Amino acid sequence: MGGTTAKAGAIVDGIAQVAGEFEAAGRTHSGRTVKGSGYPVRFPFVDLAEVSAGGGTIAWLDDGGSLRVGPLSAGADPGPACYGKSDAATVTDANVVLGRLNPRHLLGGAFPIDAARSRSTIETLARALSMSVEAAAAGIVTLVDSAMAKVLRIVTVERGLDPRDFTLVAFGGGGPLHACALADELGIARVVITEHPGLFSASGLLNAELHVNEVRSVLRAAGEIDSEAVEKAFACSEERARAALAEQGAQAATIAFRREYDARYRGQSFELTIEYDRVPGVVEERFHEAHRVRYGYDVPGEVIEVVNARLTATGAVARDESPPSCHPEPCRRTTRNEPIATRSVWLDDTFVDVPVFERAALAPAAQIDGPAVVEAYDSTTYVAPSWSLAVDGDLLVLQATP
Amino acid sequence: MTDPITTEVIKNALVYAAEEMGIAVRNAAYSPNIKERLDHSCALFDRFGRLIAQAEHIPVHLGSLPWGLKRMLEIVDRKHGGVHEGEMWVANDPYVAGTHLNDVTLLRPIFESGRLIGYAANKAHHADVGGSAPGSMPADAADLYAEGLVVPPLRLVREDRVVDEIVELFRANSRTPEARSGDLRAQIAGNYTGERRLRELCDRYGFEILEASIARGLDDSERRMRAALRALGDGVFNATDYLEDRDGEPRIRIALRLELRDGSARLDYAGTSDQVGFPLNAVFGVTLSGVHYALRAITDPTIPMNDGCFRPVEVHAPEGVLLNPRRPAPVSGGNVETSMRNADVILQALAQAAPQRVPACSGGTMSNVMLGGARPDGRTWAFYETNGCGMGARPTSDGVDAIHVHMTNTLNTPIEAIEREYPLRIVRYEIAPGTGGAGRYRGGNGLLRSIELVEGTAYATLLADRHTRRPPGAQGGQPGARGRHSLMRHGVERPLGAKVGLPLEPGDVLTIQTPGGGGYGAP
Repeated sequence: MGGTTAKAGAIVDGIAQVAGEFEAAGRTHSGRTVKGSGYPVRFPFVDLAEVSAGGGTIAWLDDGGSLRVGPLSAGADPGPACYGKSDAATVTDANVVLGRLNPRHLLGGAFPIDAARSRSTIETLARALSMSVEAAAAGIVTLVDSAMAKVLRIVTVERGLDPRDFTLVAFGGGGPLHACALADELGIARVVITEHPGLFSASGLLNAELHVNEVRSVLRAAGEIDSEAVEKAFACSEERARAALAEQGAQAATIAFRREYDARYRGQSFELTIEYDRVPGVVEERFHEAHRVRYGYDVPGEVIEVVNARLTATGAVARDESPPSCHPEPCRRTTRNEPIATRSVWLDDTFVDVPVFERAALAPAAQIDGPAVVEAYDSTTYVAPSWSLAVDGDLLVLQATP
Repeated sequence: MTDPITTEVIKNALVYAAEEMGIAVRNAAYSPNIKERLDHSCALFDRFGRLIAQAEHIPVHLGSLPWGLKRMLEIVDRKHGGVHEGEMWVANDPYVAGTHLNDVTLLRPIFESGRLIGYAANKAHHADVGGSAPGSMPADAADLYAEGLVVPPLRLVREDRVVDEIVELFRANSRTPEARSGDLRAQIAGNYTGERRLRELCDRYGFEILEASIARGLDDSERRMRAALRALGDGVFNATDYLEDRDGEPRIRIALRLELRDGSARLDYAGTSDQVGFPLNAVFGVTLSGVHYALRAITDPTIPMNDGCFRPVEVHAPEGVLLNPRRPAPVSGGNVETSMRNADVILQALAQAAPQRVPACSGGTMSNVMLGGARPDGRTWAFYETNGCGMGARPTSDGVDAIHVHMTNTLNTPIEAIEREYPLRIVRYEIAPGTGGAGRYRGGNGLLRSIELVEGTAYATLLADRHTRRPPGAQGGQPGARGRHSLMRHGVERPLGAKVGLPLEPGDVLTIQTPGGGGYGAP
C-alpha cells in the first residue's frame, strides 16, 4: 500500500504467480481487469490485483450521502490535508486522527504534520454523517481496508488458494499500518514487515536479478536437428545475452546460462520447455517425461518437434550491501524495549494509551504485545490488540494471538 | 461444519480446476479447431452427477454437458454395471451426450480411497468424425447416420490404460486420423487434470467438508438465481422467430411461452415446428443450453454456474419438434444454427420483461464452413470453422463487429494456422462495413472471408442462416444486413444458398459474408 494504490499478488512455494495474458490499457473494476476492455498481450505477467487505496486516497460523500473512499487521490503533492497544502480528507488524515500515525511529524521528525488540519477536514465529513470525528476516521480506515481485503481475496480465494495458508508480507509506506486488519479479515495468522517497507518496491527494482531471454526458432523434428548448428546458435545467444546483461550492470562473475528447448509432439500448438541436450535421444526422453508429468501420458514413437532453442541468462547487479541510508537513524539498539512515548490511539470506540517504539532501537529478539505503534523513518507499523510483534533479524514478524 | 471462507475457497478452486482442464486440453490438442479456436468445454460434477463447476468456454457445450452426463451414466449403469475406478468413458451419440456427433464427450469417474467423489467431463468438437461430407455436417443429411460415426458410451480408458481399439475406431472413421487420436489424448489429459485437483481438495479439507461446501455452493447459486428471476417480475411472455429452410424461406418456427413466477421460470416450446428432414434439429440438451445461457446473461452472470442455477428453471419441448427430435433425425446443425435462433427467441421474450437489459438480435448464425478433401499426394484433410457476425447493439453501446456471440465463444483460426495446416489460402478477411443495423446504438458489422482452394480436390459445406430474414433490431432499431455466400470460379462469381454442399476445384474462391447485428433504439 503506497500513496495512491494498493496491489496484491500471491507467492506459492517461493514462486510469484504468473498470468499468461494481460490486457494493456484495459479498465479495472474493484481490482479485476474488465475482460475485453483493453488489448490482450500474450506474455507472462506477475499476477497482480490492484485497487485505488493509498495514504493519499480521498474520502468523500456521494450523492446519497454515503461515505466513500477513492478512487481519487491527493497523491504526494498536494498530499493529505496534514501536509498543509490541501483540504482533502485522506486515509493518512484518518490515521492521524486515530493516533496511529505520529500527529506532529513523519520521516523521523523531518516532515511536519498538521494534525489539526486532518481533524478539521474529517470533521466536515463527520458533521454531514452526523457522527464523531473519530467514528468518521475509523469508517474511512474500514472502507479502505475492505477495498484492500478484496484484492487479496482476488489473488487467493478467487484463484482457489486458501489465504489462511499464507503469510502476509506488508510493504509500501502504508502497508504496515493496515496489515493486521487485512490479515484478520482473511484469517491470516502471520504478517511480515520488510526492512524498509517504504522502499521495498524500489529496492526490488534495483536489486532483483536480471534476466535476458534469447529465443531462436528451430522447428525441426528432434531426430533431424543439426546439433552443431544448435550449439553454435546457443553460443551466439550467450554472447549476446552476456553483452546485454553487462550493459545493464550485471556483475560478470554472477552471469549464468540455462539452455532449453521448447518442444511438442508434431501436430500440437503449445510447447513444453525442457532442458537442452545435444544428444537427440536424451531430448526425446526428457520430452516424453515432461509430457507425462504435465498431461498424465506420453506417446512413445510420436515425432517430437523442437520449436525453439531458448537461452535464459541471469546475472546479479552489484548490491548496495549497506541498507539505504537516506535517514539518520541513530544506532542505539539495546536489549531492552522501552517505548519512546505513549500515544492516544483510537481502539474500537475510545482512545487508549498505547506505547510507541522506535523500530531502529528494538532489540534483536524483542517481543511486544499489541496494541503498539512502531515508528520508522519510512513507515509506521500498527500492532493491533490481538497481535504480537517479534523482531527477527531485519524483519518484523507479527503473529495473531489465538 | 464448513465456514464461509472454506466454502468460497473450494467453490473457486473447483472453477479454477475446470479452467485448468480446458488449458490442458488446448495445449495437448492436435487439431486447429481445438488448439486455436478453443472449441471445447470442461466441467466437474459431484458424485450424484450434479454440475458443481464449469469453465466458461462454449455455452452450447456447457448447458448440454449436465444433460449428457446424466444420460451417459444411466446407460453405463444399465448396460455395463456402473462406473469403476480407473475408467474413462467416451460417447458422441447426440441423443445421449447432448449436442452433435462432432462433439466427443469424455467422462472420468473420480475416486478417493475407493470412494466415488465426483466426475470430470469434457467435450471437444472433432473437426471430422466421418459421414458423407468432410466436417461431418453435410447440409443434406437425411438422418443421423449420414452425419458420421455414432459412438454410444464405451470405455476409452480401463485401469488407467487407454483402450487402443476404441481410438482405432475413431481413427478409421475420420478423414483426419492423426488429429483424432491426438485430440482424444488431449481430452484424456484434461480429465486427469480435473481429477488431480478434486482429489487434492478432498485431501486438503476432507470428504465431508468438501461435500458440504459443494452442497452449500449449489444452494447459494439456487438462491441467487431465484432472487434474480424474481427481480425480473412475474409475467407471461411470448416470442417467435424463424430459421430458413433449404430454399431460403424462413418457415421453420421456434415458438416460446416464457412464464416467470415468483423466482422461477417455465419455458414451453409448444407451437414450435416439427422436426425437419435435414440437420437443423436440436437435441434437447442443446435446447436446455440455450435456456441456461440466456437466463444467465440477462439475470446475473456472476452467479457461480452449477446445478443450483438449473433448479428454478423448467423447460418443456414436445417430443418430435425441432427442439426435441426423435432419433435418428439429423442434428449436426442443431447446436450451431438452431441453438442460435433459440437464444434469439428466449432473449426476445426476456426483452419484454427487461427491455433495458437485452440487446438487439445479433447475426444469429454461426456461419459454419466445412472444407475437406485430398491433397495431390493423397493425404486427406478436414477444416472446420464458425465465423463471427455482428453483435446486436446493446442498450448502452454499439454492438461489436465480427465476433462470436451467444452460443459459441470460439476464437477465429488465424490465417497463418489455416495456410500452414491446409491447402487453402485466405484471399480476403475483413469487416463488412455498413452491415450493422442503424439505431441510437449501431449493430456490429459482420465479417467477410474469402477462401481459395490451392490444390487437390475438396468438398465444401456451408451452413448459415439469416440470409433471407434480417437480424431484427430492438426498441426501434433497424435490422442488420443479411449474410451471403458466393463462389468465384474461372473469374465468374455466382451466389450460393445459405445451406449448401458443393465440390471445389483448385482456384475456386468461396466468399462468406456474415450478417450484421440489429440496432438498438430509433436512429
